[in-house]
Order: sequence, then C-alpha cells, then structure tokens
Amino acid sequence: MMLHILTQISKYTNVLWVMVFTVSGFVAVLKRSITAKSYHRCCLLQRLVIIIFNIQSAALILLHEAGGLRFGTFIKMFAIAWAAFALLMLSLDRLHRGTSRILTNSMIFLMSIGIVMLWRLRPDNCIRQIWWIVISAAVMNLMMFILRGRWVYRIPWWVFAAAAFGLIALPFIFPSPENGALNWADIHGFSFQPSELVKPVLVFLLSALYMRRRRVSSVLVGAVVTGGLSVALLIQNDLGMILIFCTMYLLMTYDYTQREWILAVGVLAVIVAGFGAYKLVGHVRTRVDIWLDPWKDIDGGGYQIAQSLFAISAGRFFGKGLFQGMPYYIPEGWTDMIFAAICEEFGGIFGFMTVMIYLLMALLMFDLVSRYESRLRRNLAMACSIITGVQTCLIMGGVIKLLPLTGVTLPLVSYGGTSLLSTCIIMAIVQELFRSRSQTERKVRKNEERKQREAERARKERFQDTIPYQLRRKGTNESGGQVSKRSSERTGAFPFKGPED
Amino acid sequence: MPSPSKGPRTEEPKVYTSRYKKSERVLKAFFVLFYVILALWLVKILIYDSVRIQGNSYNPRLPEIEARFDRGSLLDRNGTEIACQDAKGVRVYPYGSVLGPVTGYSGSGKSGLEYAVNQDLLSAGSLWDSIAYWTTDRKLDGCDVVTTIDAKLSNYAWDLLGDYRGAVVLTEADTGRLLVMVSKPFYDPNTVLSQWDELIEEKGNLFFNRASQGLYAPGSTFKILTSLAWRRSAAYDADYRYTCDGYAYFNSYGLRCYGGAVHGTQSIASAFADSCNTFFSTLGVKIGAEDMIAVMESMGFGKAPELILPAEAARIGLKADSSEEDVAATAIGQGRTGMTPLMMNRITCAIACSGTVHDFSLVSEVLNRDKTVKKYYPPGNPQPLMSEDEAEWLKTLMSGVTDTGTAAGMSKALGLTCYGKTGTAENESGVDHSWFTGFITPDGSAPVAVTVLIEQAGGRIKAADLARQILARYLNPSA
Repeated sequence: MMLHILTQISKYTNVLWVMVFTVSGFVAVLKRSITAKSYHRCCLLQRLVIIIFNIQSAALILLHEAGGLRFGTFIKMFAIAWAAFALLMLSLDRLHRGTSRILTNSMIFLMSIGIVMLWRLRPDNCIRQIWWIVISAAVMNLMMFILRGRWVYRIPWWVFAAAAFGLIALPFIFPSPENGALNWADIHGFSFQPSELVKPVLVFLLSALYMRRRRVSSVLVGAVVTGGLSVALLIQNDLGMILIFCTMYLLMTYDYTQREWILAVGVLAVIVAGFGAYKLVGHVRTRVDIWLDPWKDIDGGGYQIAQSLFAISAGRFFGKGLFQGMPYYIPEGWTDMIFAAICEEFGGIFGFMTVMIYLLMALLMFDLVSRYESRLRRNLAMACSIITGVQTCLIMGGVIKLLPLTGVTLPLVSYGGTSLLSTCIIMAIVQELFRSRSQTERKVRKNEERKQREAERARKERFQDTIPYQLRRKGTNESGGQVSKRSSERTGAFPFKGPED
Repeated sequence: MPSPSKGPRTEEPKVYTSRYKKSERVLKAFFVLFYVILALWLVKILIYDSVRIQGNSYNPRLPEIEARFDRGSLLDRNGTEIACQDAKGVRVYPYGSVLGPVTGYSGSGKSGLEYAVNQDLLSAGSLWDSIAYWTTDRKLDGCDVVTTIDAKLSNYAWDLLGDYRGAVVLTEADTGRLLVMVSKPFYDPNTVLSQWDELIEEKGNLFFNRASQGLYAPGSTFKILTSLAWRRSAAYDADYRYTCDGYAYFNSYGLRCYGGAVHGTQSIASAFADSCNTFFSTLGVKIGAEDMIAVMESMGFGKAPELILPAEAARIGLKADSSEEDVAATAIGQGRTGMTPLMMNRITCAIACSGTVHDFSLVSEVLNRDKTVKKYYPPGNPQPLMSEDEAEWLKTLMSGVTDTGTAAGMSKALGLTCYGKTGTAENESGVDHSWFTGFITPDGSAPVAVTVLIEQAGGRIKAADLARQILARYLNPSA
C-alpha cells in the first residue's frame, strides 16, 4: 500500500522533474540573450533534477528490494554509479574547463535513467553496466587529455582507415564462442563488439579525409572505406551499423561537397537498395512487412514491435510507475528496446521528454559546427552530431514503428558496454571541441581587451597631454569624466558570449 | 603532452563563424524535424492507437488487467444480460448459441464482442474505482456494455429456424443498428472452451458466423441489383417488355423459370414480382458485364462491410470480358457471385432509407456503475449507395412482391405495406437455399430491414414465411 502510493506519486513527480530538466536545458541553449548567471542557474537546476531523480528512483527500488538478497548489492552498486557520475561531472567542470555543462548533465541524466530501468529489468546487467560507466568515465577523461595534443589532429586519414579495418577484422580473428553473434570478438575471455568502436574511428577518418582539397578522390576513398566496412558488417550480420555508417558517409559527403544532388542520390540509393533487398533478401522483406503491419503475425516476426507497442500504450501518458508495468515482456527490453520499457513505466510524457533531451544534445553539437576553430574540428563536430543523431533516430523510430526496426542501441541508455564506451568517446571528442573553442574564445576576448586597453591608454595619454593645465587641476571636466566612465564600462564585466562557457 | 594553452603560439587564435551555412542548416533542420516527428508520433500512438493496441488479445498485460476486474456484463437493448458473471465468477451466456455470434466467448482466448469491447468491460466505472485501481489491490467491477441486440427476438428467430441451418439479420435501417444476428448452428459459448476439440471436429462449422461471413449465391434476391443496373444503364427503357416462354438459352446455357412457370409478356414490375428468370437474364445481357460490375462495386462488393466483428466481403463473380451465359446467370443471382446475408441486408436498408445506409453497429453505450452513460458508441457513418429516385423505384418493385408476387399476402398478414424480394438459390448441395430480404416502415417509427437465409430449404420451408413471423413478432413483441 505504502509502496503503491509512493510509486503513484513518484511517477507524476518524475514527469515534473524531466520537464524541468528539459525546459531548463532548452532555455540555456536557445535563449540568445541569456546572462552567465541564469545559464549557471539552469545548469544547477538540471543537476538538482539528476540528484532528485536518482534519489527518488533509488528509494523506490530500495523499498521494493527491502529484505531481499540484492539489497546490499544495490546500495553498493548505486553508490559506485553515483560516485562515477559525480567524478565525471567534477572532472568535466574543473579539469576540462569550458566543456558544455548542459551536455554533461544530459549525458548523466540519460545514463541514470538507463541504470534505473536496467536494475528494474535485469539487475545483473545493471551491475555490469555500472562498471562500464566507471570505465567509460575514466576513458572519457583520458581521451580528453589525449585530444588536447595537437598531434592527434595531424594523424593522416589512412591511419584511421587502417584502425577501422583492423577493428572490424577482430571478430574474424577472435570469433566469439557464442553462436550467432558474428559481430562480437573475444580476446582472452574479454568479449566486446568491435563495430561499436569503429564509430569514433570513422568520425576521425571522415573528418580528416574531408579536409583535403582533392574532392573527387576524397569522396571516392570515403566510399571505398565505407563500402569495405559495410561488406565486413554484412558478413557479421550487423544491419543497423551498416545503416549508420552509410548514412553518415552520405551526409558527411553532402556537407563536404555542398551538392544537394548527393542527398537525392542517397535517397534514390536507399529506395533502390531497399526495394532490391526487399525483393531479394527474405530477411529484409520480413522486416519491412512487419513494419507495415506487425499485427498480422504477432506470434512470429511482428512479436518484437507488437510487444513494444503494447508496452508503450500500457504506459499511457504518466506510465505505470516503477515496478508496476510488465516491461519484461519486451524482447531486448534492456538493450535496443529500452525506450519502450521507459515509456511503459515512466510514461509517454517522460518518453517525449527523453526525445527532447536527445534533440537538445543534437542542437548543442550543431552549435560546434557553426562556430569552429578549424575545418577539421568543424568536421569532427559534424560527424559526431550525425552519428549520434542517426543512431538515436533509427532505434527510437524503430521502437515506435515509425521506421522498420533495426537492432542498434539507444546511446547512453541501453545496456551494452562497448556501445556506452564508444558513445562516451564520441562525447569526449565533442566536449574537447567545446573546451578548446571556449579557451580560444577567451583568448580572443583577452587579446581584444588588451588591445582595447592599450588603445584606451594611448588615447588617454594623448588626451591628457592636450587638456589645458587649468582644467586638469579642477578635475570636474565633463568630457574627461565621460572618457573615464566609458572605459570602465568596457573593462568591467565583459558580456557573456556563449552557452558553453 | 603538448597543450595548445601552453608554450608560445605564433598564430593569432581565432574562432570562425561557419562558411558552409547551407549544408549545416539542411542537416540541422533534418535532425530537428526528425526528433520532432518522433515525439509527435509517440503522442499519436498514445492518443489514437493505445486503446486499440492494449485490447489486442496477444497483449500479455491483459490477464493482469483481467485479474483486477469483475468483468462487466453485456446487455441487450432492453437491459437483459446476454453475458455476465455468475456467483462463482464464471462467465455465463444465458442465450447460449443464439447470441453466440454476437457475444463470442471469453476465456484464455476471446472472440465476438467479448474480444471487441474487452477494453470497456475491463474499465473502472467511477472515479473512485479509477483511484482504487492504482492505489489498492481490491477487485473492481468492470463497466457494463449495452448492445443493440434484441435477445428475445433473436431467440424467436433461432427457434423458427428449427432444424435448418441458416442466418437471420434484422436491422434498424435508419441507423444500421443490428437487432438480430443469428447463425445456426453455432457453438455454445458456455461450453465452448471445455469441448473445444470436439466442436472443431463437428460438421456444420460451428465457429462460422453465417450472417456476416457466409458467402452464398444470392439467387433471385440479386434481381434487386439487376433492376438497379438496368435503370442505371444506357439501354434503360421504362416501357421495356419481354415475353417469357418459361425458358431461355444463352449460348450453351439454358435456364428455366422457377417451378416451370410461363409468365407471358412481362414489364419489369410484373417480372420482379413474379421473379421471372428469363426476363432478368435477358435484361442482364442487355445491360452488359461492365455495367453490372459497376453497380456491384457501387454497392460495396469486394469490401467487407464495416462491423465490429469479422465480416466477409461480397464477391463479384463477373469480369468485364465475361461470356454472355455468365452475365445471364449472374443477373438472376447464380454464377460465381457470392453475398453474405449481412450484405444483402445493407442494400435493403439503403432502399428503405432513400438510398443512404449507415455502417452496421452492435454496441450503443458503456455504462458506469451507477447506470449513467460513460461512453456512447454512435451509429455507423452514413454512406450513400443509390439516389432517392432509384430507392423509390426499387421500393415500388419490391411492394409488388409482397402484394401479388412470390410472397403474396405478406403485407396483408402484417397489416402494413411490406417490401421484399424472395430468392431460391441453386447450389452444389443440390437442394436449394431459400432467401428473403425486405423491410417494413411501421407507423411513427423507423424502417426495419430483415434478411433471412435458410440453407437447403428445398421448398419445405420458405424464408419469406420466417421473415413474416419475425416481423410480426417485432411489431408486437408481447404476442
């Protein structure tokens, strides 16, 4: 009864928290004339939401687990997770000054939603995920230090190409003992999904490649690399990753060449390839048929999407409340289909807001594209936004039957160590871009200020020399007062420049 | 690790503002738009689809919801329970097989209305119940659902069918609300789950609703459509006459009038009343396959009629290049044309209501626990099938049938003008099916359309007699 009422209250408060989080995020990012102070407040509000959401969910889980065997494990693991979150937040704020706090908050909020849902569905996987969060946080910090080195940006594209092909070949060299998982590699008992790690490599590869002047050769090299990776992935039966890589190649090429017909060719290729695959490959045909009408074959191919839609519609707007729904019926509900589980227990509004958080992250990343320090950094920002955006859209659209379902993870939320790690590496790139840009901006600002001060001083000195002796002594001269006031205005609090400071 | 912040930097630091605005704007807009579509699609699922999706019998959440509710009752239009829980919580169907096609059954699987309005039967009937649903584990009462069915009349129709197989459909023509939908034989929903295996084996297909799913050759009742096609065709001549010799030949196909009758010189009115086969098959050939098909399509052949339960679409047995004999056979309702009694009833309703028909409905409202209306199921959407003139004209033809024609005396027996058409359909069993479709417009109330089909009646029982008795009972329920 007690737990019942608390769960019911918490589902409404959860909706409130997530709305506060999203709205303050959008205010901080979209409002043009935001002052440093209110930007800071928005960030604090978001952190407050993260803390409250975590405490509230943990309290519910504790009440639910009370007296159970996993009670102690839960406390221990969530303490570790929170420590990892706190350290990640702290290091990004202090160690890497200038990173986007809104992006940090969004990442951590999504990860918290992920682990709460995972504990509810599969505590064992949740424990593993928490260790992966610890690892990813560490790797993210490490990456950000590495990325400060300018040598990283001088690595030629073919090194990345070699790395990508080396990674993608791992499952062939060290095949996973489990049957069916062709895209997994197993090195001395440590199994992971190399194709996930190819993502950040491909980000660097295409960015470096598309800096060159020789456009035709660059585009062709890109096509060869993407095609090669796709063939390897086709053998490994990883359709989702092929889609992500090809879409990324297409959009990056469009950005590189600025030719709209490339988009048209891409759409046409998707239609032709899709139609061809539909006619020739039975696997694709069933997927499309299921997408068109999952209700015809609920027991067979339509099972996944039907279960997902059952879950989403069971949750309605406010959800069933944590532990009150039946998300364990959703196949892959802890990885690919976790969005359906979130919608069932936290509600449709919460799901809506989750989409908005991803939108917020996309907007932040696109901000890096429009103001940049160098072509390479701009390309990197573009590649990062595209790869995260495409992956999120693919899986979310699949779960709600807007697109045919493709098996990829929901970044930061789904269970999956390699996926989390690769997303964190991509986020490390983004945060490093933010950091270095804000530092450069500060430098530019300081340079300007210094120049202005110098000019001011020079003018003042000139002016002082020209003021007649009598006026100088009085000190009430109008024009003299004006000059000093204006200069104080200029040298005082400098107007706040960007949302990332 | 060299850092850009340390050490001397020769070049001036600089932050550029985008030079490639176009692709940036396109890609940014693309992603923003996609996220917004994602979010809106989610809202669409929640608002429009979720109720339908949740009620799907494959939803593993159903048993959980079911465990929380005492399933509501299904009521007929007079408030009689046609499906309810007994004291032990077992689902009981007082009318058994009679209303089997309507109620269906509810157990580990579901069918009929038990399936279609499952969501309503398992919903909280008051605000307090809704709160209690979320806050307690108490078992709650589900809402009752009022159907449009008249249980007593259905029972009467069932009894009249006797040992024959067949179907009876009776509809309020101006709203499309079904009062009777009987299909004999049918399984008894009280025992269906315990006897499942035996019932599956049993002859006569007990799981098959003859009224909405049975495709039969319409026989002479199809002459309604042939007449309409004639009136719509370019060759239409109001004064057309034909002399019936009792038989006619179309290439290799010979046909005779029913019972060996020779009707002599006939106008369309007399031919319709006497159900003259030679007249209508000649007419059919004059009209041509294309116009016949056009009329059938305009009546909604090939499309399942809207109904909350499974319904079969009527079959067009003609092609544009069909031979003369096929057209002649189709014109008198033989050949490959197939119609369900429900479809026949729909066309009859259109004639009764100046050409406009409403989609069929079986459920009228959902009741709260205090018997106030929680949700109102409106009648189906209106669909124009024919013009007012055409309906009036067909009405005149149909009054001839009950006045002096094949169902002579029916109007007189009922005490008010009755419109109808009889039919006898040859079929592969060798014993003819008997059809009747017609309607009455009682004083001061809405028209009622009735369709009766008796399988293998063979002349021992007439569908028209059954229809007359059912209509009489409808007009005077206390008798």
